[in-house]
Amino acid sequence: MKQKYRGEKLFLFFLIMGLSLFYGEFYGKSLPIEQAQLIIIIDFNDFMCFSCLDSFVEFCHSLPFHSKDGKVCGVLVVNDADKTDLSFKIVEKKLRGFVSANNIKFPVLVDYLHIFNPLAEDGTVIILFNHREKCIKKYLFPLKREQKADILKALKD
Amino acid sequence: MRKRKICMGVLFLAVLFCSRFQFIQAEEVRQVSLEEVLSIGNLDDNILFQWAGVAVDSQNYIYVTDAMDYCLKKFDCQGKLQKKIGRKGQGPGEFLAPRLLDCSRAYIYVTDQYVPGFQVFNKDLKFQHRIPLRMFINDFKVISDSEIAVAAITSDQICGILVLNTKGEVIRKFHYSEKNSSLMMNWIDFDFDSRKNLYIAYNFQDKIAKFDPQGKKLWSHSLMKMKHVKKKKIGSFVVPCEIVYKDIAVDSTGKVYVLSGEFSKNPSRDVYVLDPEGKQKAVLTLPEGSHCIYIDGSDFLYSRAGDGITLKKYRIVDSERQAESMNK
Repeated sequence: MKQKYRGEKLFLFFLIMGLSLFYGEFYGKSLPIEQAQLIIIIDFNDFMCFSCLDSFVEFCHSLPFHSKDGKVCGVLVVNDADKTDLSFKIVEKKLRGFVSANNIKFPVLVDYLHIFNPLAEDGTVIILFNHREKCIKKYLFPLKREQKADILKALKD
Repeated sequence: MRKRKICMGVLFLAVLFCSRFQFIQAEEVRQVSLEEVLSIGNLDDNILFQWAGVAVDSQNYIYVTDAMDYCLKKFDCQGKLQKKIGRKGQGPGEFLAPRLLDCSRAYIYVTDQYVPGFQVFNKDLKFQHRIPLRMFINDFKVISDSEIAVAAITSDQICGILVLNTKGEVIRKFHYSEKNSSLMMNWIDFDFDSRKNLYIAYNFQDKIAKFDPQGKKLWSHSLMKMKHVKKKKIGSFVVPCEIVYKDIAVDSTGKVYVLSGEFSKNPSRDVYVLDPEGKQKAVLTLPEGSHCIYIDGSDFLYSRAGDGITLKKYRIVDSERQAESMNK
């Protein structure tokens, strides 16, 4: 039992570390605590399947704000643990092309350390940190209409 | 004693025969090397992100489709980007996933993985018109400004190559298989030689075949000596999940180049070189795995590197052929 909790604690630790990395280091300032935040975890397998990401791109375009407010951040998760430095650089270049061609306005980073891998086991997902409702929610792509409405409402509040 | 001598003699002759046979085999199937002459796209630039198709026109301009940024790109023979057009969409000059392309004297024909038919551009990459089709395209070759040969993915015509006019109307049909195979088993890549003979590489069968311009089968060969590929069930469909041959291309001398799939010594890298009669003459190995090969009018070979961020152009170096020409 203790073992199980230990694993979960470790996972939470890495998750918090990851979040603080994105929201602390990369934006240089923290958000007001009541604002909702979103992490979009993109599975590399979906990333290479152009039709799989349609729902993702459509959702990104429906976000009513820009990257500078720091509410949204993307993470590209690469499942293959054997990836070399070179192959990560190739992934990064592809990501650059994808972000530019699809006019994605928030930052998307490659998860070199596989921190977010456990969260992307079911494919591309959204993690919503809803401070007002004091909950964290996970949504799988493709999103249902009501899920999309939930997320957008939380971000607007 | 005499018997023993005879036995030894027979054994000696047998060994000699075998070694000579092996020597002949080794001589027939020789290694051909590749000399890189051009590389387009690297880690730092923003030129290619995930190239899918390549074609070269008679003036040596290189045209490439890029699926990651939904573009058609034109490069000069030094690899300098001349022009690019396209963005995500389904309007004129827009793509969802640009894939195959080929060029005639005047036009570039481009397919989209998710939109049936062709978009036609002039050499300046200006959109001209669409050729609407009801079927998706597995492979195609432009025969002339007025004829396009298409291996289409449909339930009833999967074993056929259709020759279309510029309006997309079928003007000829050619059946390369009479058998009604299971789903995807008759998917092919194909190419023509200068005499309009047709060469076919099956994607999910160990079969390379040649047909004359009248559609008569001239030969059929297996290079991998295998019987079946693995299949898996997806929903109610059973589909093959291992690729035997990925692409086929013919050079100006009639040599046939077949890119291997998952069953060769170097998967997606070994290219089998056959003579026009289908005899294997050589194997060349690409430095990196590729999804396709293309041979231009000057017999340069193009393939993928860096998982699609780089296009490589190679000179095919056949040392024996070089020695022969030096002697002459």
